[in-house]
Amino acid sequence: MTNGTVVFITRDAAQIQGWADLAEHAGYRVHELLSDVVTPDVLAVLSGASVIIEWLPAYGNKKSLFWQEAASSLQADVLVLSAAHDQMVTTTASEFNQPGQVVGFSPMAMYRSEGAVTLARHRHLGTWAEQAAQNFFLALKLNVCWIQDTPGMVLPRIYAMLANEAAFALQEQVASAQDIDTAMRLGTNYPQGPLTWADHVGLDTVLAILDLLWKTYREERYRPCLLIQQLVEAGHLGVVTGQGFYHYSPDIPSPSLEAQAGKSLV
Amino acid sequence: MKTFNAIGVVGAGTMGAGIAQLIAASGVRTILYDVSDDVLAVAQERMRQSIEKGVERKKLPADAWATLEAQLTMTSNFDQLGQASDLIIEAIPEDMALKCRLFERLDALCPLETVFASNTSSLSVTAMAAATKRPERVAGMHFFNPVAQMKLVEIIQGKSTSQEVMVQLSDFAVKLGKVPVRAKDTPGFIVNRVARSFYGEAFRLLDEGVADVATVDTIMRSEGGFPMGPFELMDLIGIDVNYAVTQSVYNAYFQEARFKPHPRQRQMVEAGHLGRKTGKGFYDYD
Repeated sequence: MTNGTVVFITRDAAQIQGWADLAEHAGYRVHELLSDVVTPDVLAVLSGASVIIEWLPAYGNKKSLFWQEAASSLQADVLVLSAAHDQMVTTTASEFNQPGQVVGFSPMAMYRSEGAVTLARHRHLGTWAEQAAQNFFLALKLNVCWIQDTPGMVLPRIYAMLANEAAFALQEQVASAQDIDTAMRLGTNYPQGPLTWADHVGLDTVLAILDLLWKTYREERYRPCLLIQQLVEAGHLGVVTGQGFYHYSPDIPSPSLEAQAGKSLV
Repeated sequence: MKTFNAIGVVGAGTMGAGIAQLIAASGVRTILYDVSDDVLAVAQERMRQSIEKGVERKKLPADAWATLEAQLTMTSNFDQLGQASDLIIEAIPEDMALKCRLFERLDALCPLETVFASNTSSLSVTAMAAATKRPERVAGMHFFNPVAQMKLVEIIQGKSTSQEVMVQLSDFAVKLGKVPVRAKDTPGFIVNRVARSFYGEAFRLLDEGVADVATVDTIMRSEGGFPMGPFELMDLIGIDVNYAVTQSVYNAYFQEARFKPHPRQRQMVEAGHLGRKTGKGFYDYD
């Protein structure tokens, strides 16, 4: 007896573990697709899903290309939750014959199995899909905050801008990366320094959020820092590659974001 | 290397009194100067209350007040600062002309070895240093409010500040139980610069009707793990104070777009809705 099947589509199984556990606990069958290539097998899995949670990167147009091929195979009553921090859900939904079935979500808290999830509405969102998303997260015992679709959503947008400013300060040699992060933790009680956050989220993701803001608003304010662009070009994406703003040695495990966030700061 | 054993603090407002209390309580000889005897009396009373509370909660030893009194001299006689031969920290109002005038007078009063530090949160340490004949021995020492609780001290290196003085001040901050970070003298230093987007983007989200004040705060707390969202934090800091810092950083960077203040900040100030201290800000308080 289950509630149906939740299909996760992601690059990295570790990223979705928190929610996958919660979904299983809530009585869902969980299926993980660790590829952005659409094959007949993938289409078969998607056609059996009751909820699809897609976290593919907007970078390289991966998200849109996937849905251009896969969207037409879905049942009309399947709820599709699409990560909307680096691509507006309005854009993603436009790839669907039934854009009303797509809800945007922020994946930033996925590594935690508590707290709230932010969901984004868009112009075509169906009332049933809104209700289905609400019920799904209720079953996972996560609170929901609804917002209107906007580039970068709320937390990813603010955090990416903090990281951008911290990177400008680092680039201008105002202070060391360590001192910038320490200052923001102890001077403003942020749960972790912006540069540490960026290394954990991935500098490619941070740059994708900044690029989306820049492309959408066409304002000087959202100009991504050269240092971030060069680190990404060089393949220094943060914790995942062992090098970002900081160096991560495999011998010395760096404290996880979760452990840092949970630490008492003052 | 030189250690600081005789310290002067100029200005007995909230920050100055807090800094003097911190230093004296650590067992270092401290002279707290203010032009006004009334301000000094208020500062002394506030210190006594905070020590009594600490003793009551058993966070401080029973003789904490005696220790403090033994180390702390409060005076409205400027010349007495000459006895504070190692380090003088100023915490007078954030007015560049006032600060430069003060440093000129201190420069004339104190031996050339005395290090001068400014607790400014936004003004140029380099400009203050230039008012003295010892710019290599002038630096920023930016404590955060409330001084007793906030662990951070930004040690600011002006254009001419020597590396030796930076090390001495960092070591001294550690001795006071604080965590020093070193930053070059640039508008907003680290915290007041990097934090600007926390508020600026929140206003943009309101503009677009993405979410209301309470939803933005809830998301930052429950999705992000921040202790407070941007609007409740502005209410706590004071919307006028936050607006002034934003304007200062924006103008010091020659109107850099990333630091641009938001008209809504000005409007809140115009309305007298300054946050918790006026009972009304982005939220209502009783």
